[in-house]
Amino acid sequence: MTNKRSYQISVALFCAYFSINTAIAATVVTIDLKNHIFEPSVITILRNTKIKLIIINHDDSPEEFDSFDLNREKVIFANSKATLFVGPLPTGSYDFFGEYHPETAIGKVIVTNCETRLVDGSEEVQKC
Amino acid sequence: MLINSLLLFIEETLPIFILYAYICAWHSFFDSSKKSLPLTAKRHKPLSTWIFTLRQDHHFFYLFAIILGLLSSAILTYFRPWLGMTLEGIGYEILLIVISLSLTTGVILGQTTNNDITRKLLFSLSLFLLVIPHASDFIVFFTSVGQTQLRPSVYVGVSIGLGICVSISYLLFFVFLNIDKSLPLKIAIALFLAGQLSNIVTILQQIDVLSSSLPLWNSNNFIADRNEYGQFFHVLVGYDATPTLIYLVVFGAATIIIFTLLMRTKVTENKNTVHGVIG
Repeated sequence: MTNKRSYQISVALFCAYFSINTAIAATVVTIDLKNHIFEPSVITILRNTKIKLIIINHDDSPEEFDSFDLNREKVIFANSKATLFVGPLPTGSYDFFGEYHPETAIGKVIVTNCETRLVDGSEEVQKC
Repeated sequence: MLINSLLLFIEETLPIFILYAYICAWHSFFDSSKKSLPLTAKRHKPLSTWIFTLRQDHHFFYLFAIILGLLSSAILTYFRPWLGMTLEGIGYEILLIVISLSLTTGVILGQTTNNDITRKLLFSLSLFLLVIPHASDFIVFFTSVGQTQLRPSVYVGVSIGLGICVSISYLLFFVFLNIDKSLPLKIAIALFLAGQLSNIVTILQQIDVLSSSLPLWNSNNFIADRNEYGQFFHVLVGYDATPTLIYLVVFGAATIIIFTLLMRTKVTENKNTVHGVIG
């Protein structure tokens, strides 16, 4: 009986863990890859935020999005897009690069405590 | 580009070379089809004899599996853009997970059987499965670089990488060959397979099936993930400079389970064989 109860609790915890994980909404960030250069090359996000990174490759050759800091790698084929999830992350700077063109395709994810917002299309306001 | 192609080549091919070394070493301990010679005989054989007498039939199995894997990887590469778009963009990741699980199962079953043919077939299947995604990644890299200009530095990087991988593979094989006990080999294989399985955690986090958590520590200052040592230890013992709790749990559990399976299964150890290098 005890074993059965333990099993039920384990299954419940397991389900709860995945439910909570999928319930956290991810902020969508799109990066364009043109002429082997990431645009934007610097992404600023809030601490402990999960982001859904959509990388669109506009070039005629494939590229591999790679980051040792973020522990992510994904091949994006020519004229197609790829999606991957990053975070939640502690504050800091996380480099990424295109593995096939590391001289030009470089960028970083900066994780801060402050959120930067554009007001009236031009003025930047930081909310910490 | 030289360092980049070198690192990429090592990253993609080192697991294949290491698995090859391990399964050859495994044959040397447990292959009952080999001729039996007194243990003292191996002490007096020169190194060149060891290297040039690797003519057992299992090498034909494995080389055939690798060639078949290379051909299959070309087919996979052709379909990868389509595969990458299926299942809401996670089709290729699902395939990688299935391959990882299958190859690990293949190696474990191969190690726990006493039938030589079954063992060779299972090991061949595992090598075949390991070659497919890694070779496909390298073909994509080669295609990408080739579209701009196929720089000589890429060829140099690949040549150096091949030399490093072959050296490491031979070194590991002869280290285990010269240890009379099979226990270190079992530990090494358990760590290697656990490392391969733990890669699934990263894939699941990347596609948002598993939650990403904060790393428990950062040992990039000691051995960085991005350098040759980091990649070597990642393949060999599942090293990660910034491991998460779930990565460690999966790695630890997989190591213990695989090691226990290898220890509990009664495989006939061929103690009198000169470690399987008799032609």
